[in-house]
Amino acid sequence: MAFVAFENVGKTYRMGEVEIHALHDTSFSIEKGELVVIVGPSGAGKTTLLNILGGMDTLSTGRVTLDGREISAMNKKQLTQYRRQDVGFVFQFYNLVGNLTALENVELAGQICAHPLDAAKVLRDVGLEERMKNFPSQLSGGEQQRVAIARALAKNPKLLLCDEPTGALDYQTGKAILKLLQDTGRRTGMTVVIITHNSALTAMADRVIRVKSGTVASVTLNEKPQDVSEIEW
Amino acid sequence: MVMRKNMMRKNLLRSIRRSLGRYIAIVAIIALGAGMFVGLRTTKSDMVATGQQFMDRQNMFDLRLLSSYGWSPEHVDAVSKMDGVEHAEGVISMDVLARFGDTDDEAVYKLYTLPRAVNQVLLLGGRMPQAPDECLADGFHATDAILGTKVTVAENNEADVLESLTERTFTVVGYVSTPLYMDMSRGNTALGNGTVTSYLYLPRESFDVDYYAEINVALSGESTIYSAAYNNAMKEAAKRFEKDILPLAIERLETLRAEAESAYADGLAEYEDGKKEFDTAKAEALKELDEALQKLKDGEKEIAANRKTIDSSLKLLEDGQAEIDQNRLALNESRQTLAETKAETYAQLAKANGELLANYKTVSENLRLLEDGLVQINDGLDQIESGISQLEDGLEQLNWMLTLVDTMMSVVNTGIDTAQAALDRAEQTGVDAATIARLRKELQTYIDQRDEYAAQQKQMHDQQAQYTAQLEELKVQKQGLTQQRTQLLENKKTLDDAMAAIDAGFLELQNSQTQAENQFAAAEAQIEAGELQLNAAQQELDANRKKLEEGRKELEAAEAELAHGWQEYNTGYEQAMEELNEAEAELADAAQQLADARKAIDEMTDTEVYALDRTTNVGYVSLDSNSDIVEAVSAVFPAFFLLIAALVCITTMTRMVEEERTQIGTLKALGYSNGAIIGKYLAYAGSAAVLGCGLGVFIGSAVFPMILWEAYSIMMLLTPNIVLRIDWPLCLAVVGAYTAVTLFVTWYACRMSLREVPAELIRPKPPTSGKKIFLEYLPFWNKFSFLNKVMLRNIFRYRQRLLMMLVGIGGCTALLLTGFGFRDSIVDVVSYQFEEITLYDMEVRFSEEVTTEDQAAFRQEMDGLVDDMTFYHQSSVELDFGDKTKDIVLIAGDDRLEDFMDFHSGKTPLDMPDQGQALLSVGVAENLGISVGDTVTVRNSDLQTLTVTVSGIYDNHVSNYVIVTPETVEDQWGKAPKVQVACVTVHEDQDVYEASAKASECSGVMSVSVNQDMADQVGKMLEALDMIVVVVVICAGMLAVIVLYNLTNINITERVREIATIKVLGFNAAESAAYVFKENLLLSAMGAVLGLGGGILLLEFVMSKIRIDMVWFQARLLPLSFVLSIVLTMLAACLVDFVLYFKLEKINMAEALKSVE
Repeated sequence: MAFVAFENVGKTYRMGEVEIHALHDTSFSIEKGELVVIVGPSGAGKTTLLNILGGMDTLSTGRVTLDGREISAMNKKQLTQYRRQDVGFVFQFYNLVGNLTALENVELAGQICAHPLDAAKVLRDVGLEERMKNFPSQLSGGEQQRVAIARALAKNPKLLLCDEPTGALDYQTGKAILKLLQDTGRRTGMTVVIITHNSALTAMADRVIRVKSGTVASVTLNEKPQDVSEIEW
Repeated sequence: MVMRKNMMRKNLLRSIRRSLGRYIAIVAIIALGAGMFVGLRTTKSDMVATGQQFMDRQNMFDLRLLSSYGWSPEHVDAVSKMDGVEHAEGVISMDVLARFGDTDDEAVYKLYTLPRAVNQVLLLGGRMPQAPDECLADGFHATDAILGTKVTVAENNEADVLESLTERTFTVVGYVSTPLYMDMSRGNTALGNGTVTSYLYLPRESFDVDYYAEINVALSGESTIYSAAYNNAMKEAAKRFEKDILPLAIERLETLRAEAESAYADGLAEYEDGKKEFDTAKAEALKELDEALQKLKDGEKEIAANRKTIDSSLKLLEDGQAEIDQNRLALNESRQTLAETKAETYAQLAKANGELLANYKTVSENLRLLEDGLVQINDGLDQIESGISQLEDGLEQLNWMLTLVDTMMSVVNTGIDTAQAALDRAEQTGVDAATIARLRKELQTYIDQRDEYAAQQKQMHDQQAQYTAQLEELKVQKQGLTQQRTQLLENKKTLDDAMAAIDAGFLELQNSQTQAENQFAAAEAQIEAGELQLNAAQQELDANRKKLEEGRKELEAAEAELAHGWQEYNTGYEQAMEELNEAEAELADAAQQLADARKAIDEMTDTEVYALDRTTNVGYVSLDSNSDIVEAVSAVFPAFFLLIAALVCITTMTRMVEEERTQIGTLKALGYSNGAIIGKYLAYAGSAAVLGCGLGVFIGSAVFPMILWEAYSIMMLLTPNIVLRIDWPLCLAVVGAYTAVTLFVTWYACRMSLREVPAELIRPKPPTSGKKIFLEYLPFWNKFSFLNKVMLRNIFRYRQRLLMMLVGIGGCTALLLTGFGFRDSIVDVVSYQFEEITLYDMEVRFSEEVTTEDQAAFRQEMDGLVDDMTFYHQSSVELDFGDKTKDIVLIAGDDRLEDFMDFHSGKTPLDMPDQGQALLSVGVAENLGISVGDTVTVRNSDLQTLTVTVSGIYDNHVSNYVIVTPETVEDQWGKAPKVQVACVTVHEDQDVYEASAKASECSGVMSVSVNQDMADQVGKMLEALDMIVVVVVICAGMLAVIVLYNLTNINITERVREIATIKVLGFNAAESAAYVFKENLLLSAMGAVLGLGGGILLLEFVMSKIRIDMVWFQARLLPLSFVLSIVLTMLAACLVDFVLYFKLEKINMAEALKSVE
């Protein structure tokens, strides 16, 4: 059985009289340890998909499972536990707590889950050994995103969800971050899902899911994913 | 242009709608501040205006004119013609003991004539009186239920009081308020318990009085109450009137004295006549009594003679009766003997009869048994005979059957032989086996038959022998029976003879009985004849006895009559003596009265007059003090609330500008001027300010006066409704101030952003940088959890919010503490006075100077009721210091005063002043700015002055005193001060009121005032201030809620992204709430603690604002007030957090994904 499975997922928002079908008939699956890139233009439903997978939103129809557990059937409390234990998030705008140092931001996440990794070690792993005591405002964008990734990893999650992780970064820094994600996936065997509108990134993925107009347009498997450093865009 | 304005207006309205909570917070804080300030301020002027209107409409007196002997109607006319007098009205008033309704308790009521012009009453319910037995009641806390109540004047009032009233019972037909009694105090009296319970207004016709107790004067011209101009004018007028009315008072004195002299002369003549009449009547009465005594003695003698005669007749009668009784006894004995003989004879006869009957019974029974035996024997014989014949028949039959068997036997034997032979033959011949078998079988058959017959034969022989034996036995039995029958027949003959003898016995017995009966009848007839004779003798005797009985009754009646006569005589004698004595006593009384009257007339040499202005009226003064207190409280609010409003406004606007940063940049880029952009925010804040102020001043102007007036109605009664006014200048000033401050802080908030160039504005503002706070350098920093670290860093990162939180929450706590402290300081002031300073229980005033002998006499009279007392001089004087003057009470007493009053300043005890020195109470010292070492001058009404150095200023709450020693007075006035007052401590177990009643009755005592009365009265009055405390507490609570809500709301809005992020990270609801609210609670607690300090200062400030001449307040705080202030503040914080918890819940996690705006 697939590690992650979307079966005929649909999501409809109601805005007054208007019904908006953000997602419909979306089905795909992801195997454990894969680096997956979900790609599609703005408004294609990428974020809705991420929200549902991340336990931040509920779906209208269909079924979603992760590692055999049905996320779509969870109540609010269970979803909180799910986010707490099983998912790591990396946001486009890092979302670090401004009042905590890099180390404390990482520890903040570790503090609430059952089997956290050592915060200092994770920060060392993402190459921020020197900046642990700095506040977010004292870090560059790339460094902040590294802290965010460290924060997600420190929870030792089953799934790492990244929403446009390079969206706010320049080319070189973005590349470095993507490399970090790819290396982390390869090294730890963690399932990493990257959501982006940049189709150039598909080359680095084990699996590419293309989203268009609220549904999955295609799913392709890369036999030989390229190293990030080899990709140009 | 129009277009632009439209767009901007739409933009503004949309901003308001989007941030409605924030907008409302600004409106509310401004409404609260403006409303409270304007409301309390207006309440003061509304109260005074209501008082002014009431006093004007009811035409309250300007002066009351009093004299020692009252006024005549002519004097009223004279006064009304005096300069400046608009109305002058004579007032009849008197204190009476009366019962109200069904109660048995008597209380003192003050009766007034219904005024026509001055001090008119305001009818609150019911109607005006129309008959002399109708009255109006005190409307203080009265309802329609009072109507119809009967007020009964007690019979134990002084005679002249009862004579001055035409009715004894009055029906309440209405209830009123009057400018004379605007507060709850009803004054003192010499009657009853010394306190007037209530007043009543009666029609003029209800009084049978031709003089007036006082003249109430209304002067022409405007009277602005409590104004210095009016007060001074009245002081002047009072002096003038006192001079002008003195001649009238003297005239009144002369008239009264002349009347008294003539009444005295009449009385003397009447007395002489009375004495003569008495002497004559006495002699006559004594003579009448002697005659009556003689008559009684004669009657007594006659009765004794009659009694003797009756007694001898009675003796004879008793002898005759004894003889009759003896004869009757003998007769009864004969009758007894006869009866006994008769009974004995009859018993013997009955016994003989019984014996005969028993014999008869035995014999006849034996006969019956014998005959039964005969019958049985005959039956037995018959049975035996038939048995014998049966047996003989059986024997015969047996013999016949034996013969038959024998025959059969021989036949069979033959058969056997034949068969045997045939067999033998066959065996010999050797016939075939079958034949032999047949033959053998045949033979066997014959043999079997023979055996059978042989058995039968034997059986028959046995039977034959048996029958023969039975026959023999029956024959023996038959012979026995025949012998028995012969015996029985012989016995029967003997019994028949005995029966014949018994019959002869019965006949003889009957003859004996007949003979005895005849003899008895003869004896009985003889006894009856004796009895008749005896009864006749008795009847004669009874008739005689009855006659004698009647005689005796007559005698007894005569005796009773005599006793009655004696009794009548004795009563008559006593009565006569009593009457004589009474008359004698009356004569003595009359003589005494005449002597008293003489003395009174001789004392009528002097009269005093007073012209009293309104400041002597307690209600008038207390309305002023109460409105001052309200004003003092209002002083707290303006600056304070303005500051809070400014803080709320600046925080909100800063946040708003930050939120709309990009929009501002866009507008700027589009070419809008700074003015146009800032205009929107100014309009936003300005409209909130105007709206808030508008709401506040209108609601405040109505609500506060109404609430506080209602509260004051506990202790005051003027009109039920307060005059509500809007103080336009004040309102405009408040609106102006709030709007100006709001606009200024808004401009200030916008200024920073507007200075930046559009390009910078469009870019998101860099996040506030986190940095180390000073706490992090402390060793214990690392012991904090993350949440606590974030909390502490947040607290110190947003300085503006920290400041506002501390000021807002601290302000709320300070207000609460002020409110509670206000109560601690004011409401309990009386208990402080009477527990800590004035240690005695009551103050006794004497009408004259008390000499050492008078003092000893008073002590003697009060012995057992009181613990201790001291006598001193006390008088009202004026104190001059610099160019200021205050009314004050002068007390000149020796060191003993220290046992009754505790002179101290704070915790330091003060000594009694030395010669030329004085102790001053702190209230007046603060009012005039006097300090220790200053020299002050005291001046009395006779313009004698006393110049003293202040040696100490002592704590005293109620009234103002200057304390000196008698030596100081003597030194400067040349004579010792008049001792006229005593302060008394009552014995511990003794009821103070009983003691005061007793003291009132002592000679020379003019009035007694009980401190407890004053304490109760002032205490009750100050309870009304509780409402002010409630108002302050509610406002403080609202303030806390608004400030906290606003700040927390902004805090949450600013941190939506952060909160969404931690939610995505998996913080549950409680953890997220703690993340935000812990900070709030800590800030609230810090603010509350700071606020306590502020509250103490604020309370000092408020209390220093309250300047009432008669009462000195000291800021005091009880521990409970601190606790309550903190607890209520924290409750408000928790409430706000609870409400905002739901807002937190609603934050969408998707916010975390949005780009930074």
